[in-house]
Amino acid sequence: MTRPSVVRALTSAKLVVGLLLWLAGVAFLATLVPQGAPSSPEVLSWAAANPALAGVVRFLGLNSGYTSWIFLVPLAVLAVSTALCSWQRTRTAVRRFRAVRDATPSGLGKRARSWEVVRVDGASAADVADVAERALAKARLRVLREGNLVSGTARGWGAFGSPVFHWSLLALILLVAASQLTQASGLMGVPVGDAKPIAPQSYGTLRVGPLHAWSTSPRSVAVPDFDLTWVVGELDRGPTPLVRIVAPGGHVLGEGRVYPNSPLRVGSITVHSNDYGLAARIVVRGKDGRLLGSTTPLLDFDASSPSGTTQVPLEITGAGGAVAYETTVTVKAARSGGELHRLPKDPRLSVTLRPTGAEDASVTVTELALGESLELADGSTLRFDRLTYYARLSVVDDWSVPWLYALLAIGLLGLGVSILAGPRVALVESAQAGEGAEARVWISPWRGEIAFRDGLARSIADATAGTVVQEEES
Amino acid sequence: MTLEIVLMWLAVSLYAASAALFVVGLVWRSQLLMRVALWTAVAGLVPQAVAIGVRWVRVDHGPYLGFYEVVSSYAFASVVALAIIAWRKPSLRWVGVFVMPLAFLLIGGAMLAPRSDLAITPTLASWWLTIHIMFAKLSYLSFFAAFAVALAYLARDRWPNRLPEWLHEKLPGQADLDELSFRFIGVGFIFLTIMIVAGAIWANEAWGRYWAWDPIETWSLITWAVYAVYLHTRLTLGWRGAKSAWFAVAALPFIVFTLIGVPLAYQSIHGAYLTGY
Repeated sequence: MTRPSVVRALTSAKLVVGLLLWLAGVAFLATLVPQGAPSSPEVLSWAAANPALAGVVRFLGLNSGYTSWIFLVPLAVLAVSTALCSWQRTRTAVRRFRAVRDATPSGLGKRARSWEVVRVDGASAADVADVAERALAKARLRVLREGNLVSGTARGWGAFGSPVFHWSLLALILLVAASQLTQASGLMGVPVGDAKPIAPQSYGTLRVGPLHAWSTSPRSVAVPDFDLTWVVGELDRGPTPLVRIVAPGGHVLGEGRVYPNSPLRVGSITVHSNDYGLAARIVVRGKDGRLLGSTTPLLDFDASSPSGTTQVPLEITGAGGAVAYETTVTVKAARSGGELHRLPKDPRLSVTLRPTGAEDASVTVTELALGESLELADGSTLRFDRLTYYARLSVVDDWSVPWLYALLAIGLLGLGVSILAGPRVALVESAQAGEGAEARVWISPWRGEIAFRDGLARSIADATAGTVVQEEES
Repeated sequence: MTLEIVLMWLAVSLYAASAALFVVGLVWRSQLLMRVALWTAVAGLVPQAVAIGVRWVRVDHGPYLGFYEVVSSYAFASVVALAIIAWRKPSLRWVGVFVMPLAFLLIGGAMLAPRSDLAITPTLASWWLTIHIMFAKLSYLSFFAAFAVALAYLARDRWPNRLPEWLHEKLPGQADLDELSFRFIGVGFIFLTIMIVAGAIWANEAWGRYWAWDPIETWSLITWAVYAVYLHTRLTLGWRGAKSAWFAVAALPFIVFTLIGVPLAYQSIHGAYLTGY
């Protein structure tokens, strides 16, 4: 294929139609099968239940339908096609804008091909031109007259609606792709009264783009306060943390109550509240009272973990060297419908300690009240130091969101102009014909608004008691 | 509750009567019956509007939570669309032959569903929800109007001798119908785009992500692509007339399925708005 023919193929409307239908088809098929990694339980169980289809679905990547090659390749082609079309549309829009701006009746007369003809008996061409002038003005067109040739033009700027929309669409595709490559998002559990740096080790689950750059002196997310009920506008917004974004020097960059529809935004960081649970602080001290270490396991209470149990590794470095423990921590708490609804009045921490890697080592099982300690084998003590709520926060570092909104707004504006306010050019040529006069009505073929041309012809016919007789080509 | 239900059943009855009158009017080729059918439909709007208002005040939100509220409000929107079309183009009032049986089925189906009050949750408490829903209804209205006008076009195109004489005379020209259908789809496409954008922004405010390929999000995009194809065929490939009209008719099920069918057919976080939570 030669270069122009490739461009012609890529800018073909038929290709765009085909790609849109293809993408819609793949999206539809992807809604019919579970979405997830090949090893996820839903995907595996669906494959087991549908062995005949599983192979095809796997080959096509339909279980990750929106990131599969059958979706992304056509999307990329559509992006290239949109770019080329946008360029072509921009050039066309400039031409049309100039055509509308510089239009003269005689200039338009040379371009006109397909006419609607109105015959008016017993009238002069000048009278019919007068009526045409009024009809074009009534249609809110800018009217110019050269003898019996009357032109009407409007909204030259409307020619830019379509290119603005298509450029915005292209920019949106590219922006979303760039955002996926550069953003970091995940869930971070922050106990009330604590702060965590916005860094990989702070996240429980994390999705990070390959081009994301972590700060060497990261900002922190702090949760100074938490309420199980937070009423705004007479509506309880549910469990609500007070979240603070803090600069490395301790300066507070932003603060706010975070609940649904009220995220905290500071620069590229957006914080949503996802869930909450309990955080039990465990402190280990040596025989001499020196702090050897501490940990704050996060305990969730929901249908999948109703007992508030979690397992945390605990490494204690004492006089006898480092000892690593597999620690199971349980706090029983008052729950309502699987959810925690208040802090336990008399919290008890059940601790099971097993030295890591030592299958036959003795297992320590004990229950501690708040403030109580357990003496370990080497003489150090493990203390149940504090129990509080923790807020599970969705912390997203994504610079693209305001740009995305801006592009959506610009795209909508372009779409609205393109569909509702395209440029209009009309010409009415009046001439004597037999006993009367004839008005020939023409509009630019850009949008093919035949009804607009018919309407103009009808309004001239109504005002002159004339008749719309025919459409003619010249 | 009782007043609301009585008013709703009154609306059901009037819509049923209107649907029957439209069909009989078409069969008997009676303009008078068609006119009566239209006014009966408009009369049905009054009790339904009052019922919606009464419920709105009681539950403190618009008709957008649960099958009963959502589906009956689409019936209301359909009849409003018919009234607007008939007001602007009286010769098109006969599209009630298609609209009113559908409106009757929608409101009748809604009346058979649970009518419990669903309260606004913190996630739903957003202005974006109002914008999202308002433009969902407007897009449905526009596409439905385009569908009705396209049907009118096709009916005259395919059975020019079977339509009553008065209908032929009263109907706008085929070029007008063709362009009217296109304009409704153009406006509907803008409304659909605003609905999707408002929904994405709302999802980001409420859940922290603007797009997650949830079935209803995906289906709204599929519908957007279908109508984008319509606009491309029309504006770039130059489709006009019957081809364009068939497309407008065939595209309507996509928006109907997106707005009403998807929450019933798929497990979706969005489904709660129709199936309750």
